[in-house]
Amino acid sequence: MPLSSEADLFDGPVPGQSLTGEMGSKPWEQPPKLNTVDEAVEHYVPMFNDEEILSGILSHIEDGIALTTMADLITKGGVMTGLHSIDVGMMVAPVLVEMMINVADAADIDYKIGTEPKKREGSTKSSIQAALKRGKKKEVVEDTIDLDAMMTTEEMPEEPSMGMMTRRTA
Amino acid sequence: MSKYVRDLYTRVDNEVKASPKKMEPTKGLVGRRGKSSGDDVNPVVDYVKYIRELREGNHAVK
Repeated sequence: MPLSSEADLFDGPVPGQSLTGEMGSKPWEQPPKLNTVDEAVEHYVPMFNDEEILSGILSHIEDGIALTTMADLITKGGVMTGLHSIDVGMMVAPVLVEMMINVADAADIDYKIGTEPKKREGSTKSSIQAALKRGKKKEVVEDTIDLDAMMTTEEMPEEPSMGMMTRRTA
Repeated sequence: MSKYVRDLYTRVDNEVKASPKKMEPTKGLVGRRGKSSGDDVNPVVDYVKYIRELREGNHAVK
């Protein structure tokens, strides 16, 4: 749902509306078609032979999307269409990641699995110096602020109360 | 759910790396559908191992 216009805010579903539908009306509420990891692998692996799908996958890998994220999306799609349950989807995801590594290697594309440790910013000499400079600047700014001026409060003139219950004097 | 996929992949990856390297290719469940019960083999690890061996060229192509 786009949040650009105010009118769209009131056009969305009411929270909990999805629970008011009839049981079994959604594909994921039906019995899954693929019940085991073997069946799910047999369904997904031929997908990598489809040229159209493969080029889409490779372009996403090139864009830097993590393979685990892509496997997650693919299996979620399977769950949404009632192909398999969410647990079979989870189990088949590592196999999909491995297949994507295969195709990325074959196409000579750099890939990101998504399990790599996050790089921490090293405390190099330059970063330490930059932090010290920032600290000095902050000190100078704090010194220039006149604290006395901040402490004085202007007295506000009292306005006569104009509530409904006030007695009219005039 | 992506977080769980990452965790599961890390776990499977560690398991595959920890398993001893054999000269003969992994057979396991691959190509033997429905054999998961009774064979003390994790199907996910087995598939990942099989695909990895294929990539590394340590597998006879069927």
